[in-house]
Amino acid sequence: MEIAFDSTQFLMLAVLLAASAGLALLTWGRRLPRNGDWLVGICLAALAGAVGASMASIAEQGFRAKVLLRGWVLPPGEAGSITVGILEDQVGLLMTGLSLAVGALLLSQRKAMAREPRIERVFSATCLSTAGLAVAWISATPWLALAGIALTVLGGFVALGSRWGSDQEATLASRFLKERSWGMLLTLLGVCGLIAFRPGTDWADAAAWASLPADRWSEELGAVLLVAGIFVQFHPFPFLSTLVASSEVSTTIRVVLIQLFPAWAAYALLIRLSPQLRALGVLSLLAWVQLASAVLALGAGLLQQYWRAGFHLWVSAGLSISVAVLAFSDSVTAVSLLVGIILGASVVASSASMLTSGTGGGAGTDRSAWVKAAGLFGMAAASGMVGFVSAGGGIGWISQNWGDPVRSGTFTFVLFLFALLGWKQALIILKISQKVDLGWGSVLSPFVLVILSLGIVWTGTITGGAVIGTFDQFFASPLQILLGSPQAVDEASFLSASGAYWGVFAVALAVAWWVSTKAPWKPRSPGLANLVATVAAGYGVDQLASRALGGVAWIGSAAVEWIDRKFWWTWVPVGADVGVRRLAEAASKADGFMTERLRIALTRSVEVPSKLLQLLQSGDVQWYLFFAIGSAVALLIHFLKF
Amino acid sequence: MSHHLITLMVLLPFAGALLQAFMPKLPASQAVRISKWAALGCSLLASLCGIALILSMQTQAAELQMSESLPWVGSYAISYEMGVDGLNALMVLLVAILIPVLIAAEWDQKLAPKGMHALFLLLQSAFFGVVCAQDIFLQFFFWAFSALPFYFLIGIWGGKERESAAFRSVVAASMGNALIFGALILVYYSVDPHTFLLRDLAGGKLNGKTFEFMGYMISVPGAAFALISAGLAFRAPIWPLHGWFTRVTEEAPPSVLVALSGITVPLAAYLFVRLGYSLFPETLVTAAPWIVGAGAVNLLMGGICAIAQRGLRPMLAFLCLGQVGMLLVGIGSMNPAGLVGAVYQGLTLGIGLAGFGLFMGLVIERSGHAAFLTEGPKPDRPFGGIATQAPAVAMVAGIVVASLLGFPGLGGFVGSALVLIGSYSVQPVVVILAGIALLMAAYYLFMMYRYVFLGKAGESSKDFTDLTLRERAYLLPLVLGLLAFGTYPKPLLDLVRPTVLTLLSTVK
Repeated sequence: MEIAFDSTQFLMLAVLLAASAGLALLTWGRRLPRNGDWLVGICLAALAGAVGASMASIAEQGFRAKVLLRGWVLPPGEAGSITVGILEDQVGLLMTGLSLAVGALLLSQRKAMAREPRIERVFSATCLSTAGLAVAWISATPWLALAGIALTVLGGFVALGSRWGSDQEATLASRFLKERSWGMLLTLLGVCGLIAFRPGTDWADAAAWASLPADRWSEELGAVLLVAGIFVQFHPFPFLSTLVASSEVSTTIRVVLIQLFPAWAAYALLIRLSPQLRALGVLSLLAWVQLASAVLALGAGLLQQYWRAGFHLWVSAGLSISVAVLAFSDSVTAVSLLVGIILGASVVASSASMLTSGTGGGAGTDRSAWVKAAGLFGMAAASGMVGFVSAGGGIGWISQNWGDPVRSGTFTFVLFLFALLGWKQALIILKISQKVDLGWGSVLSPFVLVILSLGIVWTGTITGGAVIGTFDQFFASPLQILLGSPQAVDEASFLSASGAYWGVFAVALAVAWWVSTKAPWKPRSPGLANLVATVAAGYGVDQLASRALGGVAWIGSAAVEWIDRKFWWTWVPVGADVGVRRLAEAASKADGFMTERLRIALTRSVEVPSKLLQLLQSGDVQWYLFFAIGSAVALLIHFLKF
Repeated sequence: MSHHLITLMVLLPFAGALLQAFMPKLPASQAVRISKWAALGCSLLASLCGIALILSMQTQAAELQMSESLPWVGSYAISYEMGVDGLNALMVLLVAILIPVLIAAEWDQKLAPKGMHALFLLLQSAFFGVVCAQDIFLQFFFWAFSALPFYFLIGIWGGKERESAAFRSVVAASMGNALIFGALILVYYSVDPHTFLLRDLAGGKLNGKTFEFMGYMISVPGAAFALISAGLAFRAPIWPLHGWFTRVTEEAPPSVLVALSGITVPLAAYLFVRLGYSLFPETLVTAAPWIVGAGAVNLLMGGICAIAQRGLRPMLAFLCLGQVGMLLVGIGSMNPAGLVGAVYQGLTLGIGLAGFGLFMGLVIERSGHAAFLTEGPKPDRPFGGIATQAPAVAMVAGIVVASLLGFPGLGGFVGSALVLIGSYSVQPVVVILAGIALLMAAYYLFMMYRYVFLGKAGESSKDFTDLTLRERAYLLPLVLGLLAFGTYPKPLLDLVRPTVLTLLSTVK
């Protein structure tokens, strides 16, 4: 019997396997040999094979995307129907492939994460998050992408589950779940709003979207809700306090599984719907909000006393910037920067983890220099240093907007802050004097991601597309083959923008070097110290939010107290009881009164005629007198008529 | 045989209840064991009949199937007319799943287990009757009858103030029933020849009918619709007529609470759809914004009040109150997606609330209370750490919570998404309010989850044990149901959709 599997089925099966393995590890991981790390390896390998097969399959057809659509809820094409499907295209498969590389990095850091009390939950989270990210990126409609985001959020929660036993970590985990769920619910609302006006067709098809008439106001509202939900997944400004809160969970886990994966999955929805969102004007709105959030995160990051908090804020800012790049330039530029930020941040996080908990029973030789080097390379990749793919993204972003002074000025300023905080954190890593005696596998694995983020890998150029011309072009740009050419920029704008970019970068590096040599700044004035502490703790949003929630809870308590306890539980029963009793008493009294009156009336009605009869009978009254009186009365009546 | 499946389904639990009452005298331990198995057996058999009924239904068919008809009170044209279609098939499934689960959940009941199981069987009989009846008098009969077992279940097996709670439940139900009965009489005498049959009354037969009251001409559909709505609002429960419900949740045993919130509430919504769309289509169109408005108020008030709660019992009450709002929003949308969503949500909400009620029961059984925060300005957390000590309980609770919030892949998602899609094109502002309510639900449910399941073990959860085999057995259908209905809703939606489209076509 011959079973014909096509690449789509293989891909779906591999994703399903990874998600199931994640759940299985969560349930039985502790009982499995080596806590089930081999199962994660198998899943990642299967997924890598499936991605490879899919990529080969679409490459055979000249990189034409394969779409498989199925009606899930209600028949496809019917208003309000929910259609799901798989979209095999270059960008989706590329991102899925990269997520596998990041997942493999986590797996390779097994010994560095040995401190985690429930390591099997980290493995489970790796499987769930990788599967979720794959689902989000290969989804043909927003519904499955939403499921993918949900899986990455579940993965993040499970990753934090390694330390659910501690109150502090449990609070962080539940806050993470709450905040990301808000994001998902907002996205769900937005998707529902947008689909309300059109059948559940392929949302990736912008032309089909535009051809369907819709109510503009409702559509904008739906789109705003959608991007608000996506915004939350990037861990931006109002939610910064969970990033700066102290936690025992490994930096790699927190950065990769908590920050990067959910945001990366949400980015899929954003990049797929960018033509539609751009047409509605919602994408640029989101971008400005994200930029503001990035500035606030970077500002708070510069004031942090602890390296980890600053680094988390820097990652948050980087993710926000990647949204702004998508909004104000093309998807090739956005992907360039996003790839650099994700791979670089993962590398820096793993280096920091190894340097802070780096004993893993290795050869005994100190390999901290390698780890520090990986950290520096990671930061170079993430911040857009020449030679890395992100450099082209950063310069492309500014050069494409060079004609608009507000935009180019703002972007340059944000990039300055981003590079400043990033390099400050990277240079601090250099000063950590911790022996790392982990095996070569753990130490060198981050370099794989460093290599993957090199400009030559993506653009075929040594500089990563950071200079004009093709003198450093070794081969055709794979990025352009896969995703198309970026928006063309005239030479003058490119030169000016790259000049500004490198100038800002150099200043940022110099300032970062100077700042990193100083002890963390502590203001002397108590007022200023309070202000700094408030900013560093996330701008006091937590206090504000807890007051607002306290207000809602107070309204709820008051409603329960007055409507339930007082009105329904006390007043109504007491009132009904008193009312019924009074009514019964009144009825009873009325009944007695009536009976008495009736008795008296009856007695009298009987007594009078009987007395008369008695008088007549006894002869006291002569009966004929009645005739006389009666006749007289009749005569009087007759004559009085006139 | 298939033509008597409905009767069998209704009578089997009733026979089981009679068997409990007239069981021959046996040694005590043997009697309890036999009675328990007999109760579960009868309930399961009836449920199997229900599932067989649904499996034998034709999909893509709007008309009534498996009909059974028999004259009952001939002189008043009351008949025993039963049948299933897309609107009630999911309710049959809900009752079929939940009642055996409740009997299994009360397996170790110490106080008069026979009586409790018999009352659950009576409830099952009454619920199946309400769902399948196609004569509105018969439907009312079963609906009114279903209120009675609750009085005993709360009054005998409830908490300290059980008598008061039982009394309130029966008073509220009686008030509601009186209003509905008034509507039935009004409807009955408005058509000539007089009838209670839904098929004879449907299709706008009542349109334009009026009656005179104190010199005013009053529309029959308007008055009857108002009476039925108010009557059902008492039992659904709808804010602010919910006072009896919150009181009952404080006192009722968890399994009874499950029957009350997980079955009665979706059933009340079903009756509202069945009667509203069949008998009063014109009135329903006029009342639609009010229905949606009532739904929005329920959603918001449910959410706001739930945030203030410190125990699982009141949280369940207000969660239920809020979720009823979602059903109302879908019903009032008058739109295929919204109405199909509301019908589907009835099933998944019932299972979700049952799951919540049952894990609350497990917590109460093991710890003696369900307050996750103590009273006072600086509340303590008596629970915590259950996820470490009893991971299976935490996992079940997590799935239930996620489904109630409408997470993709779980039962709640399909219904919620359809309701939101359907309502958005009609009432976008209400959908925003529903969204706010969902955000509040995410807040209070995850807050509860953190206090009960995560963190350090508190005083009340130090010796918390994980699920026993019996508990796993009765929770499994709920979890599987939520997963199956969330991932593969097509077969059930194929049953619901044609009937909904037909109903909506009469309204349009």
